[in-house]
Amino acid sequence: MLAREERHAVAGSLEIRAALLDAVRRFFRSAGYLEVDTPALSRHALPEVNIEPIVCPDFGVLLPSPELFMKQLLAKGYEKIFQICKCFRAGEIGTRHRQEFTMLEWYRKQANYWNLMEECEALIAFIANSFAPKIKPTRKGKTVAIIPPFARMEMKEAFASFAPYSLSQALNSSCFDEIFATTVEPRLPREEALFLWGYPAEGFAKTQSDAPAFAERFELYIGGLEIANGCSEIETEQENTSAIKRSLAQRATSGKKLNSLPPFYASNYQLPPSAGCALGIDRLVMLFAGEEDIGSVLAFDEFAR
Amino acid sequence: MYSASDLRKGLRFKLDGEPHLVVDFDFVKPGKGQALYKCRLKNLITGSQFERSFRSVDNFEEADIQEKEMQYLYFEGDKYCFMDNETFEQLYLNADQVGEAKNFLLENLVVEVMLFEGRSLGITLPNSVDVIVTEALPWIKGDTVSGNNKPVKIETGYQLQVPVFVEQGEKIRVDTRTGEYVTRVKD
Repeated sequence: MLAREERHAVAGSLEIRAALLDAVRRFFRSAGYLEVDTPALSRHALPEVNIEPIVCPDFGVLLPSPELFMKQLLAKGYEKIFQICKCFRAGEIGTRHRQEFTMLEWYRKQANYWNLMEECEALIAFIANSFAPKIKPTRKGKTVAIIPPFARMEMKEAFASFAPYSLSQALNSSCFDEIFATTVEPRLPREEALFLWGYPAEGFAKTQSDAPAFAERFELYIGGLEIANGCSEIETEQENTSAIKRSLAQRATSGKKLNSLPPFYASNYQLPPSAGCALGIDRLVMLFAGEEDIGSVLAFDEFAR
Repeated sequence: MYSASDLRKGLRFKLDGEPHLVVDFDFVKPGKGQALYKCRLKNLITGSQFERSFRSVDNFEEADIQEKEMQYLYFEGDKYCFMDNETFEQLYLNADQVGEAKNFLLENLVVEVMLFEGRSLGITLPNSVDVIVTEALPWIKGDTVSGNNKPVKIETGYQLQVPVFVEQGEKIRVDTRTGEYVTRVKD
């Protein structure tokens, strides 16, 4: 009996996934994007502060994101590209995480993070429309309203509204992640979509020109579930070098391995003004399938904790 | 030694010198932030529950916890005496350590005792026990005023509500987790 119910649940989410991927492709094709397919197995990974690739000794690394190669396509002159691919992150297993997951990533030349917020919003509305009225995005049994434009909230304001400390107090005490995860994120609106922006500078996002301690980066939350992350890309070799230095220094202080740099990042880095966004397909399937655990929307799930 | 990646529901470890149980667990990693291991912990000595997040660099000491089957022998003075049927070792627990379980502690009942560094953290009873009703008002047929239940006392002195047809001297099954009547038992 239970086996039958389980089979039913899986079939439901598999169908939602297929329809969702189809809608994503239709959206990007009609917006003039080229679908690309870059390697998942690479010799190098970007030295991210908090993301570990899955290392395959003697073969290379399974990449945590297609960023590394997609940016090289941007540098080669491709202006609008998207990709749907498997990504790998060592040790990430939770109700919203798996070590292997499906990501949608897209890059656009002559765009900044505000432009990508708009595109992200249009994509989500397009997908929601393609499912309406039968299937609605649902979180914890409640329908989430997808009505563009989504609210845009600065991180400073999110801390002021939801946390017992201000953003600067959190940053000064090096407890940004803890306070965000335990007090801000759980209080984000459950029945609507929201962009959070004004994140502290980190990784490979461009920094704000008038506030270099902050990044030109956003996260999309739908019904309190983190769905996508976008940013304006670093353009010059100088910015890239300092981002890599900062990242390597942070990795060194937490005792993480310092991998060798991919050649494109090691020298002559140059990108046109552009922005990119990464979106978790499995999370979006969770939303439209009304599931609270990522394992429930996977065809097979061997690595649940 | 455990590391943060060992954390999961049901894991027990030592925190600030006391044994704790992970009641609920999730791996979270908002944005591009660091991984956090969000736990709901239960202090196994005080029973209190609280939330705590750990970072991936955190380590935890293993808790020396043993679970032993022991037989309840007798109550003497203010102590409950239990015996390990393999080693014949005897363990004396006070009323606080036995807690609510005292309501269903019958002589010779086999229970599970949880020990932390040799100290008892409490006992777990079987889910149900069969006990004799020692005091009950007789059932007067046709009495509809008193409703469908009546209070009775069982051999341990514990009082509970049972259906009106249960008579003094009969054996009944009681759910030890809820303290409620389950059924009449015929030997």
